[in-house]
This record gives sequence, structure tokens and C-alpha cells, in this order.
Amino acid sequence: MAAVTRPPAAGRESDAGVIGRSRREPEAFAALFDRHYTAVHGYAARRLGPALADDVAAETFLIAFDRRDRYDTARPDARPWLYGIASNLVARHHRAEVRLYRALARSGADEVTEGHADGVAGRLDARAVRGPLARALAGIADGDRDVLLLVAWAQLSVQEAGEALGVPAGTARSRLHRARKKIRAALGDTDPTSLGEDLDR
Amino acid sequence: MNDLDILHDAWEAPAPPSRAAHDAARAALLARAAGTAALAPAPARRRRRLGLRVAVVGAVAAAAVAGVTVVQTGGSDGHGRPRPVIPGIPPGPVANAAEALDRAALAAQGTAARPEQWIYTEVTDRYPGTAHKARVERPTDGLRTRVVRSWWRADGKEAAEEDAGRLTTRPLSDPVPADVTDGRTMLHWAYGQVPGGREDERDPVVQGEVFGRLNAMVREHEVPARRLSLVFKAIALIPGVKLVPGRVDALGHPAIAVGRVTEGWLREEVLLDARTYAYVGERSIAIKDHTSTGMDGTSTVKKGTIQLIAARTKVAVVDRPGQRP
Repeated sequence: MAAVTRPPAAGRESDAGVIGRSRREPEAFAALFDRHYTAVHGYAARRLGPALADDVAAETFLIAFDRRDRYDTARPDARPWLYGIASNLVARHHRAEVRLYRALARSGADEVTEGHADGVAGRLDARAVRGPLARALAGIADGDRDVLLLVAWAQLSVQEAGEALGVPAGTARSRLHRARKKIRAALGDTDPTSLGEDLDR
Repeated sequence: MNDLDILHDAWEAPAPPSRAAHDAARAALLARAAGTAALAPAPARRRRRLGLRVAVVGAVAAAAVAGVTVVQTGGSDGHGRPRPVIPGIPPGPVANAAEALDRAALAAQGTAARPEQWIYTEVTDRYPGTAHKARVERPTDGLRTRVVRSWWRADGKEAAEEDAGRLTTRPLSDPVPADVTDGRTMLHWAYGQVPGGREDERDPVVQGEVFGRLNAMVREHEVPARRLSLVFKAIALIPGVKLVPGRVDALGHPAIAVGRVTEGWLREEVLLDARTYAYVGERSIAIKDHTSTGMDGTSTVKKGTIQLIAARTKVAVVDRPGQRP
């Protein structure tokens, strides 16, 4: 699951272009909402459940709008910026997040739909380990978990995750490394060398 | 598959956001953008400097100025959290009272803050100073001014007021039953709260009473913010409620008025922000000369005389009662 660079679709204005325009025409910012609201909402929903996700997603774009003057328009893709705002909002609900993971850890495999005809053996196996993974997530430090989930769930690169959270790339890398060790342990893999090359994504 | 892939796949793809959540979030964004556009320089015309008051009307815009974000949502889900139910604000002016109040309902949908935070409201009241002595009240008569500061818990559970430096808090509870979920059932409930309301909802005097009752609910924060939209929808259903053409000056704040004439001479108005339609306050104004006769003689109110005007001159989110933004 390599991080994908996301150039704008041919002919489409970049996120930076939309934000720049919105400095003179505020309503133009809605184009950024239309592009990214669903993805931001989905990320928040994975971490907090759907009800809090509604609030986090809406607030993310209001905050982003308020800060649009400070956006670095040298960055064409606004997703790290938006996910950074969303991560900070998710962090306000960190107790709710941890409760959610603990609940998932307790219910574990019960939550997997019976007879789910996914057809992909790997995916089905993945669902079965959600319980132990959720327990691991509950036990990972907030800052480490933010990087981990930006990479695993928002599908940012580790560099982008660092940008999103306002930490140096090296810091983001070491947080991800620590978090992944715990995830691997939850999956039963305690071999530290297996983290190896794919740490950098 | 590595551990990150497994972590990704172990969770089901989340359900897409509901249409209602999407629409409300988008509307909130556009409302903020519209508020900003109002402040943008307009070199083609002279603008009065309205200063911070334009930016702080309504919990939405005010919270932005205070550095706290606002989510526009309405109703509640099973966890008591706000849930959006209304689609976005259409562009352009409103054609009638119902549309204006729909937009006020939309602007009202929202907790301005976390449930345990407080909304600070500063209301400036202007009223005739010598009315009780005057035989004739005129539009040009001076008005007295009073500023009232209060705090309202965002979850609707408590209110606080400051008087001579002392803060008093009191508990609140939403008087409206949970099964009231739309404007019509809210209006019907409100009729039950006024004299004669159970007997005849078509009596104009009773309708005047219910209009006043619903206005008071907004003014006095009697319902939590997430239920406020129902009050506006109910007001829109009262016969005789009409959009007043043009702009009203709500103590320096451009507003539009939605009003109802009572006793043939006094128009009681709800004032809404001219741009965001957020509730600003209320006004009562004589629309024709009115003379009443009492035991001690007659008294006259001339057309155009303001009997009451009250506007929220500051709204902001704070962490505790007594705190100023």
C-alpha cells in the first residue's frame, strides 16, 4: 500500500489554487469542501464513530476556512493540512476514541458480519484481528497513534503525516515506528527486524 | 500485506456521511464565507464601519471571532449530540417571512460549543424613558439604554446573570417535550402555553400571545440551541407573520424584520441578521397613530414610535459563566 502522489486531475485547479482564490472570493472555498469532506469524515468516523465524525468534519472545514490566509500555496495538495486540523479535533475527543477502541476490543470478532462474502481471504483475515488491533490502538500514545492512523487510514505518506501534525519528518518516522511495533506485537509478530524497508512509505 | 494494510482492512470502510450532515456542514461553511464577504472592503460604495458587532452576531460568527469553531447542526441523535437536518442556505434574498424564518432556523441550528461551555450574550435594550408620564409618544423621543449580560450553558441546563458584580446561576430545563420535532407540533405545544390557546388557535388575540411566547423562548434561551430551529419554524406558521420590506437598523446592525401586527397598530418584529439570518433581537414599532383612553385621560403613540428594541450586540463562547470574551 504505497502512498500515492496525487497530482490534480488534468485541467483541474489544485487545492492551493482554490484556497488562493478563496482569499478574495470566500465562497470559492466550498470547492475544497466538495473535494475532501467525505474523506475527512470517513477518517474521523473510523476514529470516533459517525456521530462525532459529523462534528469533526464540519469543524475541520470551518477552521480551514478561517486559516486559509496562512495556507502555504506552494503545496498543491491540501489533504495533509486538512487532516492535520481533523487530527487535532479528534484529539479533543481522545477519551471517546479510546473508549471506542476498548469496546471494539471487547466485542472483537463478534462484530465481523457472519457470512460476509468478501471473497478476499486477506481482507477477511484482517477483520478477524480487529479486536486485538483495537486494543493495541487504545494503548498507543496519542501522538504516535495520530501518525499511525494518518498513514494507515488517511493514507498519507509519513512525510505528509509529519506536515499534517506540524512535526519534523524524523519525529513522524520514529512515532510511526513505535506505533507499528505495537501493532505488529498485537498481530503476533514480535520480530523487530521485519519492520525493515517498508517503514518509509 | 503488511501491518498497515491489515490495520486499514481490519476496519470496514466507514459509511459515507449522511446527506443531512453533509448539507449542514456545507451550509455552515457558506454562512461563514458569506459573513466574511460582508466584511470585505467594498470600494464601490460607502460602508458604515460597523466594527466587531457585524462579526459577532449569532453564535456561529461570534464563536469564530472568539477562536472557537461552531458546528451548525440540529436535532439530536441517540447520544444527545447535534445532528443536522436542514439543507444549505440558498443564494439570494428571501421572498417572504417563511423563507426568512427557515434561514433563521438554519442559522440557529447548532451548539456553539461543547455542551459544557457557555454562550455569553450581551443584549442592548432601548425603550421609551418617559412613556409612563407622556401623553403623546413620538418617534423622536429619546430612548433609554440598558445592557444586559448573561451566560447560557450550551446544553441548555443552566443560565447565569451578573448583577452589581454578583453572579447568580440558575438551572434550566427544556420545557418542550421530546416528541415535539417539527414547527407544527412546536406551535401546537406553544398554543397550549398561552391563555385561550387550547380553546381557539384561530383567535387573533391568542395568535398574538403565542407569537410573543415563542419570541420569548428565543430571547430567553428557553430551549437548547439544538432545538431553537423548531421555534423559528413555529413562528413562521402563525397567521399574519410577514416579512417587513427593507432593512431595519438593529442598534447599528443591519437586520431584516419578520413581524406581526397586533391590535391593528403595533408591529412586533423578530430581527434577523441581514446577511446570515441569525437571530439578532426584536423590535416593536407603531405602524399607525394609536390612542388609548383610560380613566385618567387619553394617551397617544404616534406612527413610527419604537416601543421596544433589543439587539444582541455581542455573542461569544466562553468556558464558564461570568467570563467575558
